[in-house]
Amino acid sequence: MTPPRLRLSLVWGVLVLAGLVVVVWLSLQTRGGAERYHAMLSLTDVLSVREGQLREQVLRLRHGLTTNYDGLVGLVRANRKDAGILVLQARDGHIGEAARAFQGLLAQEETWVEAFKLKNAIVRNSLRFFQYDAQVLINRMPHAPAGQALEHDLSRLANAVLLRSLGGGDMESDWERVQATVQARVSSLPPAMGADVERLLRHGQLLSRHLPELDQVTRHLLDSDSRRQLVQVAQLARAEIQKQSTETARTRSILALLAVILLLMLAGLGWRFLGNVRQMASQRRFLAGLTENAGVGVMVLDGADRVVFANGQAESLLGYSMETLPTLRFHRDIHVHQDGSHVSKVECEVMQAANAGHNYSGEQFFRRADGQVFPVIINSGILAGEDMGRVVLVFQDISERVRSARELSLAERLFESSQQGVVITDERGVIVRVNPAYCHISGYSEAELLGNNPRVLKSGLQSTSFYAEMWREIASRGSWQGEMRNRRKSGEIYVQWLHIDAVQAPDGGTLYAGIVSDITELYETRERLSALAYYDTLTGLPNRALFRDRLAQAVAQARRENRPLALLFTDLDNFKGINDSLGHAAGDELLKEVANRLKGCVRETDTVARLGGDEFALLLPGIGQAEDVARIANGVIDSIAQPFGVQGYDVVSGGSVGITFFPQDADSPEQLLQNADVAMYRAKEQGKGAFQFYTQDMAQGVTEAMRLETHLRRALERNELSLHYQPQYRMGGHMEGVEALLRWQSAELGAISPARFIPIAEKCGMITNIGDWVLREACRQCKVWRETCCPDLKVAVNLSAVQFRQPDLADKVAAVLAEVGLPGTALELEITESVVMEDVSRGLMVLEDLKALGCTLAIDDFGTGYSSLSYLRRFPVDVLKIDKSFIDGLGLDTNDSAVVRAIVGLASSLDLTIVAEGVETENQLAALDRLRGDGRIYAQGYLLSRPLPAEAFEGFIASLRGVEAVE
Amino acid sequence: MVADETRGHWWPLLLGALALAGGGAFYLLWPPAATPAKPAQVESIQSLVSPRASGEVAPIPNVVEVAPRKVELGRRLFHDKQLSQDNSVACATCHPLDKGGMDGLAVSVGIHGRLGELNAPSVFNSGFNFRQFWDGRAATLEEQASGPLLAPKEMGSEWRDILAKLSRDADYPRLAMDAYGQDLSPEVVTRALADFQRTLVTPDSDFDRYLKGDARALSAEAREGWRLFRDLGCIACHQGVNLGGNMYANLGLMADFFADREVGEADLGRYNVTGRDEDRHLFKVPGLRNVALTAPYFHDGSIADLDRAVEVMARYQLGLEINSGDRANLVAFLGSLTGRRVSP
Repeated sequence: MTPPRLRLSLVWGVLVLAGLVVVVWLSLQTRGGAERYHAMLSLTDVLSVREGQLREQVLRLRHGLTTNYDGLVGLVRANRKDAGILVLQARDGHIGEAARAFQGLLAQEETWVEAFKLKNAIVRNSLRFFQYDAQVLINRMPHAPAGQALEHDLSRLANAVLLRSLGGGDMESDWERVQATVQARVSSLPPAMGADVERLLRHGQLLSRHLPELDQVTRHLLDSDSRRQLVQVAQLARAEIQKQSTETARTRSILALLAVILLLMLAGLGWRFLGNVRQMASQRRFLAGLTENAGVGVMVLDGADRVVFANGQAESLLGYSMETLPTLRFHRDIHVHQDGSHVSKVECEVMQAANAGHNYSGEQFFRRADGQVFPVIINSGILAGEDMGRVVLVFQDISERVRSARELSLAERLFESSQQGVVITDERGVIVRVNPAYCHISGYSEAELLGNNPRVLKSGLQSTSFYAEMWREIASRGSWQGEMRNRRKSGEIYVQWLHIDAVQAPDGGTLYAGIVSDITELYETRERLSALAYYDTLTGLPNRALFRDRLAQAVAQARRENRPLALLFTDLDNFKGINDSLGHAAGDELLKEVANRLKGCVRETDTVARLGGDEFALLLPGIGQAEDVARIANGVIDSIAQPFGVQGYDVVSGGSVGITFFPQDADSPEQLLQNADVAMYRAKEQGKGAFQFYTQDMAQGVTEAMRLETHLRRALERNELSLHYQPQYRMGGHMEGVEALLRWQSAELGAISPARFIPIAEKCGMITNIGDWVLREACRQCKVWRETCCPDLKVAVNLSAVQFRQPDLADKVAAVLAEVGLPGTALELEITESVVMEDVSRGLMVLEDLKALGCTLAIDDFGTGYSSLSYLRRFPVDVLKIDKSFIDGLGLDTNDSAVVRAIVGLASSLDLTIVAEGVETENQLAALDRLRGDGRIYAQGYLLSRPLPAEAFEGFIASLRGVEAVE
Repeated sequence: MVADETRGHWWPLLLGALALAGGGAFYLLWPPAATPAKPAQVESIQSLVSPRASGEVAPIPNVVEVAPRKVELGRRLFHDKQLSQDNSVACATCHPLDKGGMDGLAVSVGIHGRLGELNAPSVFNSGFNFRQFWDGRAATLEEQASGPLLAPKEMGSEWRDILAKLSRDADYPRLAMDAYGQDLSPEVVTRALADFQRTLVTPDSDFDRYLKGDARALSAEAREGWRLFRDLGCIACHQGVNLGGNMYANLGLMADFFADREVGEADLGRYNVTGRDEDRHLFKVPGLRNVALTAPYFHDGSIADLDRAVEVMARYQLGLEINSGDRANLVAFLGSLTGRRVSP
């Protein structure tokens, strides 16, 4: 680098930067300024609007359309303030004067406004007096002639006043005259009346003085120049803005010019630079052409240790690109000792040789750009002539040679020292190498093995087909691994883990390498453990058998020592779902993690066991306090509720916990296990992620449920079930359908509500039978009624979750319809939201199948579940039944009304019918009617009719007919 | 042999080119756009009352939004005797907030026991007044605030002393900075006092509730009083949210109030400000909110009770002699104007 050239570059750089500073300065100059005038413009707009409002107020006040001054005062005040701001923004110059002139006009206006308010108040008050009191006074005038004359004058006066107040007439001229005559006659009146007339006169006086003044001040206000002045201010502001933008445009032209000049400068410089690059590249190409084909790296160093040339091979060996080469120093960056430390120029053998005028040849180390050190062979020479003092280096990378030599010895060492036995045979199975470990395992010496076949070790415990299979696999896949039993030289049988690879030999043939681990001990341990069968192999937790054992011991010990113990059961909420959707491997992984977390929840001395499936038990000896256990149970629930990372998914599970205590809940291990189970199921019923202590009531609840179940099983045979029918009315129309509702009248237990027995029926599987019966019976009854009394009657039947999950539901419904002879369109099936949402894609399919039968589909209890509208749109649903809990609040001013209104709106936008359940008051019905709009709304409830037994329903129909006939 | 001397020193050019390109983009993409300023905010409390309100009166708004830090500073200043020359009188001395916002004296007592010349008006709802002082010489509460501070007969201070005292205080400089982002100054002190006073509204009087639709909020007497108040003409001047406080009026319209009185300078009213003859005896119409708590009455505190005040007003302003029954009803109505927050 020559100094003048450096200086030139610096000068260019400074010039460009200076240009840039000018650009930024100019662009900043064009900002500001105008904003002030824009602000003024919008302020004049605001002021102008308010001035307009002020005039409107004045007119309204003057004519009594507005009767208080607050609005007017507010406008005056706001304008006074904004005018102040306007003056501040305008500063000086023409625009400042104009703004101050406007402010002056406003001050004048304010004076007028004050006068206006006062006079307007006086005038309105006196006029009011004339309008009401004067007439009363006039009518009270005595009938004496004096009174008559007075009455006449006063009436004239009053009329003049009224005329004047309406904007016409000339009250003032009359006034002077009448006043004198009236004044003269007042003395003849009774004193009280005299005072009244005096007052009338005084009001008249006030009017005669203030009315003209009021009109004048009103005119002043309406004609005030303030708005014209505002227009002028605005014009000036616009002119200023115009001026500013002209200036901006000029600045921008200068700026553009400057930018062009700078660009031209840059272009010139760039051109020069490119010329240099081209020249150098052609020189380089020539040199590279000379050296490239030699297959060696060539570098030229100058006297300052710089790399002034390197061929392509040198670049790729050193890992530097052509651009960085000029910045390199040979002894700083490239030439190193084997450990990577620098070789100084003084100690460098190449340089020493060059200085002495010799060529050099020998091995050295270079460092690559990425820091890696590699060995090279160097041949150097000295250039003469123009390039005096330059050294040319020709070098070759010899790392490959060095590495293979070293690796060979490493492999050998590994082979010799490995703990695993290694045996290598040739194609025919003849042993060609063994390592000491192999000798140790087999018990034979190396000499005994070499040249032999590994067959000498055969135990005879594997069949020939085993070996055949093994060789087949090696032939096809190139390797085999597995357990194999062999016999040592001592005759002892050992178990080995053998891995055989077919390896390509250097001479082209195949070698077989066997790697052997002696797993005899491991094998025995495993056998022993599984023989015990006390541990769950997946989680390593005690299994059910061991847990029962531990529980029995713990109970016995607790009894002996008179100490309590607690037993906790838990299982996962949706394990089956996870297993089904993610696969068993995922399920296993989840169970393992659960086991780990559970272990973290208890003491070392407590027992955590997996009882099978996703059931876990915790045995806590010595713990008898409910609070302590509750804390642990919460810990368990919390730990299970944390998401699990399973096969890359975040899986959320959760669990419920049942708790029982020894000795207060039970005395025997069996009873404790049963209690914990009951408590856990009760906890689940309460909602997921809860825990529940076992209680006596629970036992009763269980037996109660069992009792119901027993009776329920007989109910169908005994004809104890029946259907009641509740009419559904179309708002603004007639009864068009009924909902079939299940009733159970038990001979032993009396009437039992569906809320009690349906869950039990669902749990014990009865629900399918019951549901089938309900469907058939409802369809049959509907068919009968359609034939006898109501040809268009529809019947609605509820489907339970269990029924809905039946795979053949649609077939079943079709069969029933065909059997009974009822058209599908007469049947409405009601399903709760949550049931459909359980499995959306399946639900959708089932609904479509049912729809294909012509059935109407209704979502029951709408609003209480997911209300997932996006799904609702996709389902072929026709009807939404609004839950009674919302209808209860209808007609009152509650949120429920809003909810119902929203649902109705939603329904009509999706073209759905609404059925309102539990309508009980006229209010609710009226509210529904108001919501009706153009949507279809049906109402159902006690207000219209309670659910009726079949025979009562027929009577009900007859009475309806009667009413209609009367109508 | 190999010419690579030009390499390595082209970076200032690249830098320059980049900077130029950046500067150009900055300039071109962000031209000085015409950004119209927002219309000035109308801070006037009057703006809370709709300008189109066509009724004669309106209920007091329940809240007036002022930043709590400003209110806090104002509240402290309002109660601080350091604002007076001898540390004996605070704003609250003559305008106690627990007694209807004024001291109940005909004229207040300033420093060194000096007597004022006019009856102290209540600070409650003063934000609704169109101007301040009986003669309306202050357009805003801010302008008003410095009046009593500097008046020799009231607090007798000078700004230099006030600011020196407040700056020595542990809290004021910080409070001022928090509230207004400024150091203590006359402007900050008066703004804080004004902002505080704007929050002194007394909504929810019986009459307000009546206006909002609760017909039972007024007794039969008060309702009759409200009818008389309108029919007799009181309403002509006492209208608006404050039932007054938004105009000037002559004292003695139908008869000469000052006929048999010795007229002092304070009785001249607005004349003292403008010097115009027509402004003689012109006073700001006082608002009637909480009037039952602010005896004595009139600019000079010369009327001791409401019954008498009603009688005098009717005589001189309306030319009416009102019987005692009607007066009682009117007084009952005036009593219904007492807001909840000030009710003792």
